[in-house]
Amino acid sequence: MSNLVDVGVYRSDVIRRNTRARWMQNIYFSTLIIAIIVLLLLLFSIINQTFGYVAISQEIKAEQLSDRPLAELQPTELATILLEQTPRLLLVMVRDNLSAVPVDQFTSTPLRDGINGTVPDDLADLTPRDLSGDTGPAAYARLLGDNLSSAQLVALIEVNVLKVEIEQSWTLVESLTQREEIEASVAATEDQEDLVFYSWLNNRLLTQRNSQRVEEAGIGPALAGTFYLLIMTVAISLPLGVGAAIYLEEYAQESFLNRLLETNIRNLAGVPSIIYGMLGLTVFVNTLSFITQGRSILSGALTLSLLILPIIITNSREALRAVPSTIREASYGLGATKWQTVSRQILPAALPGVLTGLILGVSRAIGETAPLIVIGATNSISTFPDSPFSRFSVLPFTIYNWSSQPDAAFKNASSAAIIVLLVLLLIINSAAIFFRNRAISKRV
Amino acid sequence: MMPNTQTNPSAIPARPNAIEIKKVDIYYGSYRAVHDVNIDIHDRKISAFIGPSGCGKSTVLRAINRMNDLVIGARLEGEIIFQGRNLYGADIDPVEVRRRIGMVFQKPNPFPKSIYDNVAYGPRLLGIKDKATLDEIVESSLKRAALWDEVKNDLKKSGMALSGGQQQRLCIARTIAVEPEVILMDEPCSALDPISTQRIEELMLELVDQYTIVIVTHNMQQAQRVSDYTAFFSIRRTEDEATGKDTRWGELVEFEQTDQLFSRPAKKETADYISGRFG
Amino acid sequence: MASEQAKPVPSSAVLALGDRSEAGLKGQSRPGEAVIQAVLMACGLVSVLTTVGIIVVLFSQTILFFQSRAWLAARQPVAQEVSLATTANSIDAAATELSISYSDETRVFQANQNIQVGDEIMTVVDRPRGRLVVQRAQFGTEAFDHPAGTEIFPMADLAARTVDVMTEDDLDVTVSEGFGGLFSIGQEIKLGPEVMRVVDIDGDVLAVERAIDSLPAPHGANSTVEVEDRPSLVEFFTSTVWQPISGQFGIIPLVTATMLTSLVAMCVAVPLGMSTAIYLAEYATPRVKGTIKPILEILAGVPTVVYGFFALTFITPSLRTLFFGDNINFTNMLAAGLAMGILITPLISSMCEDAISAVPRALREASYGLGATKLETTIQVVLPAAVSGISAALIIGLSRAVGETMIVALASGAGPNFTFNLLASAETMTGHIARISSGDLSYGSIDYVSIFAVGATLFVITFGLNVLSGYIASRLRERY
Ligand SMILES: Nc1ncnc2c1ncn2[C@@H]1O[C@H](COP(=O)(O)OP(=O)(O)OP(=O)(O)O)[C@@H](O)[C@H]1O
Ligand SMILES: [Mg+2]
Repeated sequence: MSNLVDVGVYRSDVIRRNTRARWMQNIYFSTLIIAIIVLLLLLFSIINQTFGYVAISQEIKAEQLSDRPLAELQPTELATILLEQTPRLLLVMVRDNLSAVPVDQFTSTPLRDGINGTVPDDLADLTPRDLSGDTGPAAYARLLGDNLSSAQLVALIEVNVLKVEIEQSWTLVESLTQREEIEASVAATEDQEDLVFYSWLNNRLLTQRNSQRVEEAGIGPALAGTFYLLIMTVAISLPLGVGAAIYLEEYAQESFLNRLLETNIRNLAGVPSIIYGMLGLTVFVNTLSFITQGRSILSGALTLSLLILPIIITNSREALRAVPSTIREASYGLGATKWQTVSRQILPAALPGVLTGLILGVSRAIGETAPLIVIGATNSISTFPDSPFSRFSVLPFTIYNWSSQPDAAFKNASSAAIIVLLVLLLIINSAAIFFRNRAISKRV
Repeated sequence: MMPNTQTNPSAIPARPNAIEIKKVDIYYGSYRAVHDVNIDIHDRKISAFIGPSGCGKSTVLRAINRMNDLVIGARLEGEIIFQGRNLYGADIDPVEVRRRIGMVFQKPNPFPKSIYDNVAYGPRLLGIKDKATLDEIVESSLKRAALWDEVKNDLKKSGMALSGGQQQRLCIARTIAVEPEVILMDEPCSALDPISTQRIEELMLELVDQYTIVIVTHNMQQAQRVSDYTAFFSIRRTEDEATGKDTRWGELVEFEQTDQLFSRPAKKETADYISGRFG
Repeated sequence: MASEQAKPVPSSAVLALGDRSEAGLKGQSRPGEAVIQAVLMACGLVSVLTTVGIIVVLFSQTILFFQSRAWLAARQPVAQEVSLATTANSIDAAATELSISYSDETRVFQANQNIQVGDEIMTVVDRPRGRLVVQRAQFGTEAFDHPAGTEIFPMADLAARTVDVMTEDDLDVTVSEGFGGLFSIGQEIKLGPEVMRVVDIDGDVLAVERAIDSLPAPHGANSTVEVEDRPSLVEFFTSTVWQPISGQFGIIPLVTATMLTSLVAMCVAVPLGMSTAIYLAEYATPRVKGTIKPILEILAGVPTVVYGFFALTFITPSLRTLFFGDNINFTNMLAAGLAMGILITPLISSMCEDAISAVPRALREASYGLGATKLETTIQVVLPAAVSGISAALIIGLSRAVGETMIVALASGAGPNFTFNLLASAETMTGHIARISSGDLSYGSIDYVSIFAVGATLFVITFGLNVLSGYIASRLRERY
């Protein structure tokens, strides 16, 4: 194809060279396709596990309890069913769902104080211990009927009376492609099993507490723990990070200290997160336990704050640096002191950038699991966190815990929790993009 | 794979390494940088492009070896004929064009490799692996670029460790090592001191025996000293009355023998520019 | 402006509105400003304190680990009373395989179990159907020929126990028959809370010096005799067993698992990441870039626990059905490594892309001008010029893989295992720390401090890699 007159010493093999170049270009390009495929596979595998058929067995059918569907019954009627079917379990249900005091004090506290909700006057002064006779179950049924919603009561009935159990679960792909086989295998089982198309991502999952039984397990406290933890992390790391950034950008001179801080921040960014967990375990959980109360949300938030500090500092510094020096000069020119200049001129101008950095830090923190495992996040906590000193669980920890359960159905629950986590991340990152764009449009 | 050498001797142009630029417009995206350029670059002569900054000298020069293809959105209308073929024809391979029409840049840009590897880079690409042949090519190229005596003892030294003038001569050596037929030089001396400049100018005068050379320069004395022909470019402006939009493009004003252009410019604009009364 | 101080601002600033009488151009002290500067500086120092904290915590706990005295029952293998099987054929002294009487019974033996055949002790290596692969002549016994029908006794590790009751002033400890050989003169032993020192040994009777660091106490018959087990640096770095229950702390299995998973990750991430980087930096149009970069950012932003889930529920099952069948464990290093590779690919590609984009255009143009193709330019000019940035990126990627926890905690295995088989399950350093610390650890116990020894090792490795990367990026930077 050498269409020019071939002179000189060189043989023209430009076709071969071009072919090779085109081949390699295709190979480079194919890696991009691989990246896309991997992302799709990731999403696919999560969705695949979240929806699909489940085989459900129950000891009693709902029709045997009432002629109307359970969902249409009033709370008092549902409570009556519970009273008839499981009188002995009512105390535990009241304690698990309504108790306002720690488990070990519940039986000795008068119901007026021990119950979260309305208590009839005739029961108010009694303690569960006083009710240990035959009168107890009826009293508890009243408490349940008065204080729980129909949905909660139906859930209690499903678990304790109907004994609904998920015997087996199938993925979405299996459900769609092997419907007949699944139906046949369910029909062949001895127990009467129902085949239901089930979304593991449901209201119960989002609101209920964790449980040993996958039918009941939810991420309510974990979700609350995540929010609690994030808010506290932001409250701690934002002032620290921005303060450090202001110091480095506006105050520090080219000095040993400045260089030390810079190298240090760079190196900290490369420390594995689990090491931060070990720092937190020793310093916050153990040494400072008189402040943090040990394995508390506060300890977790302090640890995560240290973890995301480098991100916040780096981004805030960039934002401060991007503020045009004319603003500074104008402010100084009017006789402002340094802090006045920083707080009234520079910080407001840098705010969008600072917020972007904060959000990047938060989206890192939200998925962090390793340090919180070390700090002592736990899935066995069944109450919602109510103070900075509560023990806590977080969403990614629940995902970890459920994924490592031997029961396959927990993997389905886990994938539903992952969807919740990813949606949270998506929201947070959209906020980051929003601020970034605003920062850019403002600058123009 | 034999190149389709032309069998009919009469089809070989009388001036094999001449370049005809015919009615060329060059665009960067929607911006037309130069308009209607026509130049006959003569075989084995030095042609100089002069003109004010931004008039499109580099643009035209880079169009000759299709360097502008690398700029996203750059596009050329018209024809550039070399060895009887339109370089922008459908069947022309830009890689081969650049091998035959080499280029030396404004800022010396040796690779961060040894002097030897810098010069051997092109020949290696072209499939020469034999050490002895490479040695020979490196030596002869460095000699022709008048650098051999200065570097023959440390060819392993990094090309970036040389002085600016030496680096530029290294770049020239690197260019002639692939035996091009034309060498394009975009302000090759603008980053150099007068002594280095003089050496490069001498070099050009030596090389012109074998190569067609096109040089862009801001230095009119240089153009007068080295070139046989000179093209003067200028900037045209129109203002759209309706929108108030200011449109600018570069245009060829005059292309003449250097002596004639500098002593008896045909256009007033040229006269103004060369006498420093420009702008 | 960084060079300006917080002390009095330029004099013009002092000309506050009503303040002209005294011509207050003199310097003023501004305590508020100084306090603010101090507070801001303290914020900066938090990061320094974090580093100091990490180092102090890891290393002080590690020192505690190496100083901790663990007392473990002195154990040795003892043949059980009931044989499990008999040999089916006679075997000679050199054979390493036993055929046993009932083929099904190989399942009652376990790998690594010690067995006694005649007078010889062997260790089971493998137990294919009907046969036992063994190591002969263990625990100082000799290899003998054994006739067919020899009984095979399983052995169990039994603890040394006292035979008699001891009062406060008894100076002899009689241990279970055959256990005297476990002790040496001068060694400290512990009965209940009391530490004693062995001064003489006569068969199974140990003469002791009582009450080394506490009051002497009476001990009942059948108390366990414990010996000290202090983790040593040598053991820590050379032993291939990490088994806190039996006092064995060799970090090698954790390190090999970490290295193997990271290696797999690098095998995925280096080609993928670099190739993506090359495409994005050299070939991609702005539009392609605009689509691909967010995808990479999403991949980089997915929490690692999700990748762990992906490895566990997608990669491993796929590998099982597509390639390895039952040879692949349900947790394994290969799947964990692959997932980790996907995780660090975006990191490597974005750092490499930065390095490649930093190569000046002039170098590319020089190469094109010589008639090089895009590929030749990229491979022979651009990549060599960007080599420092690229190697820095690869090292950072490796360091990230080494420190990554959740993927390996979920997908690589729970339990240290010294193996180079990627299909086997093995616990990494980070996975081990995560697993041990997710149980409620008591502060100061040997389990507690042992994870700090692992953490310190991990920190040293990753810190070393990060420093190396920074050094390469700054020192070897090309001067183009
Ligand atoms: N890569 C590019 N993309 C867009 N526009 C370009 C590009 N390169 C050059 N131009 C525009 O084309 C016009 C001509 O530029 P060119 O570099 O050819 O001028 P020049 O005559 O070489 O000037 P100088 O003497 O300063 O080198 C200018 O208006 C310039 O802005
Ligand atoms: Mg130019």
